Amino acid sequence: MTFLELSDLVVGYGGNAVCAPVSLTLGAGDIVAVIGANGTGKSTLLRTVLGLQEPLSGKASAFGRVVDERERQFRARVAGVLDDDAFFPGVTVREHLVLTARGHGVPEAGAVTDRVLDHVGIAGHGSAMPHTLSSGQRRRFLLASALVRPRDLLVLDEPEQRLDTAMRARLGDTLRAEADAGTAVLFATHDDRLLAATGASALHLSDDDAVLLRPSDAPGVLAGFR
Amino acid sequence: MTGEAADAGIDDAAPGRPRLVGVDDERFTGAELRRLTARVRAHNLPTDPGRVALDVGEVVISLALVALYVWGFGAPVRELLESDATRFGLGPGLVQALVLALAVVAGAVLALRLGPAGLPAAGVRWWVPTPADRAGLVSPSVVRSVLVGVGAGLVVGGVPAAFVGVGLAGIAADAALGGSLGLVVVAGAGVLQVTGGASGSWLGRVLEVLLAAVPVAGLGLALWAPAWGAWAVPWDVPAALGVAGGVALVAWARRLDRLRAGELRARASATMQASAALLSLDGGGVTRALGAGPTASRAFRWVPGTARGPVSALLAADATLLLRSPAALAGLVALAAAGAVAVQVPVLSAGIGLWAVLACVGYAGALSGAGGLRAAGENPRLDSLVPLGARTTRAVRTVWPVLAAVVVLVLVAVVSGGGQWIAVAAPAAVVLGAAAVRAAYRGPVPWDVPMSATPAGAFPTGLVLHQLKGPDVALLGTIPLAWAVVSGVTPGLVVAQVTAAVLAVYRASR
Repeated sequence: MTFLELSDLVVGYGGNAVCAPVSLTLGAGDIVAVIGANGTGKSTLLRTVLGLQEPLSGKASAFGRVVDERERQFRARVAGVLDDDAFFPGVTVREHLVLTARGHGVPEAGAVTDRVLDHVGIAGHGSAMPHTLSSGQRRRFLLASALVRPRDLLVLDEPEQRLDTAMRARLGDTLRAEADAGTAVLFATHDDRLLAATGASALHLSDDDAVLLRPSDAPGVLAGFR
Repeated sequence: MTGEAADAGIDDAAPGRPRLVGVDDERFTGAELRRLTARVRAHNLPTDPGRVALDVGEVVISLALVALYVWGFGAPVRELLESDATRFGLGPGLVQALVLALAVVAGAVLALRLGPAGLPAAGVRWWVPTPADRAGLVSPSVVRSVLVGVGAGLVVGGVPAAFVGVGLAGIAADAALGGSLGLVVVAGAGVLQVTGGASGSWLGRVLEVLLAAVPVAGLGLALWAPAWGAWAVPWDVPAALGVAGGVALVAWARRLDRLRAGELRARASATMQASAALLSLDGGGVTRALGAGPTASRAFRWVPGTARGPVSALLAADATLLLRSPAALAGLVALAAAGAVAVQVPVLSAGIGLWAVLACVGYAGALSGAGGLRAAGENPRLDSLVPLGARTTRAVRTVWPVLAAVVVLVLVAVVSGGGQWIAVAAPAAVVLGAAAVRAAYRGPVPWDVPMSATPAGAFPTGLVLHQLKGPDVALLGTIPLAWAVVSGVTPGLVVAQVTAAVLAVYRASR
């Protein structure tokens, strides 16, 4: 089954496209990294896939229906982590995650949350208030918010940002495991090692075109940006 | 899926590793999610009942004081308006209509910018991506917006009616008119929000221009229409508006689940910006949060191309910003109209009253033309991009605020027939422009300055000194203008005002 289908999708702001039209199909277990220089529309593309922004033209479909984040089924199956952190005052890290899991109908949300906190390496900070975390820990916390809930499509915007080397390596394993478990994964990155670790194909965005590269070619292209 | 795994929300049939699954019966509704979050917060941050009682008491006492102030002002205001009705046409009925019109348009601007349905930023981040129904999440904000809209409407409809003395039945009818208009505005904005009609900034811009048009319309009516006596609207009107508002409210409530996450995110961001600016008493920040700001259009793109050096580049940049801000341009016209209306009132038509009007509208006009300065004041790196000294940069940046103040003062003079003091008003405009520069570069509030103890309680010295930067120059620098409007224009006063202008520019550019 096709989880995500982008057909000549043009994204941008105020009627101005930020990258070339994108066509892409993702099914169960597929993993694709979006790469490109700064300002080539990676984040805008991901926001559009998550339904947070209207496409300028073309079509984005998820699970056979036009992307519409107002549909409950869409929200139940698509998890996204962008670079936005806002927290409820007076609510701990663990409580934020339990709330998320409960909102998605996960039974034994507490146990699931504890496992995920341990997996992302902040189990010792579950009872901390989010604003007391370091920026790297906050990033792990936000990643955890996508892992405590069910998902068929996982969308992440530069998940490696602010993570230390060890956690980046674990992130690569995590994304690979997500795909192995049947989740379709789409993530933007500037990290060629993460790209190699996940074995992802790469969608290379530029002003002129959007090209899907084979996993073996992708890290070399990304390294070329440095 | 095995029974045990399903109980734990894990689908162990998937390849690779167990996958989480959601169970419909376990999913929270929006209201449940909201309440659970509130309970968690309450558990972690227990509320002291005594503190709550104190807060409620403070609110009740504050409201009572406001009501007493309004009551106390009623009699003199009524006398003033009655005297105007016979001489100038700024009758009590017109004042009622202007207050209501301003409140309706301003309310619409606020409702479109901040909601009316919304969530805190954390709610957008943590609640909205769940399958929970959005109606349940945003319903408290809907109730709050409706109550605020109707309540504010009752006040802006009823209080002016009480001032102009239309009798209890009339006050009730006018208050009902305000309340029903408040309902229509809030519910209408809500319908636009859920249908996506408010997502484009065009409606906000139209409303900002309308907001500026109200004083202009008031000026026209005051000058050319017969005086309006106090009025009380027939009950049919609020009744019809109430029904229309009710229908819009139902249509809005039925579509709350169609609210887009992007819409909620934008409103949460604007609300947070406005709240932060209010808390730090940053008037410019509030304006930026609530206003549409400069358009993203390419209009006037030839203006930057006219730059031929650092000075003209600065001028061209600030001019482009001003020309692309329809609200700022409309605001200049509105300020001039408001000034012209104000000088129709006897106490403001001559002497110190006239000076106060000129200084206020001129200074406000200069601030309208100072968008570029405010941006530079908040981000000093902007000025460092230009190869000019700091003093020269600030002096150059005085040009547009000065011209804006000149436009406002000349328009007031022309419309109100006060051309005799233009010779002093022109250099006074330079002072007001310099004052706007000083205000734009005043930086953050120095909260580290100790409070001063006074018999009336603690006095926030740092805050007051900060807020006075700008108005101090406007006040002191226009003393020759004050003298001129009191005793007549003389060459000596013109020279004094020119000298004050030079000193003001020197002071503001430091």
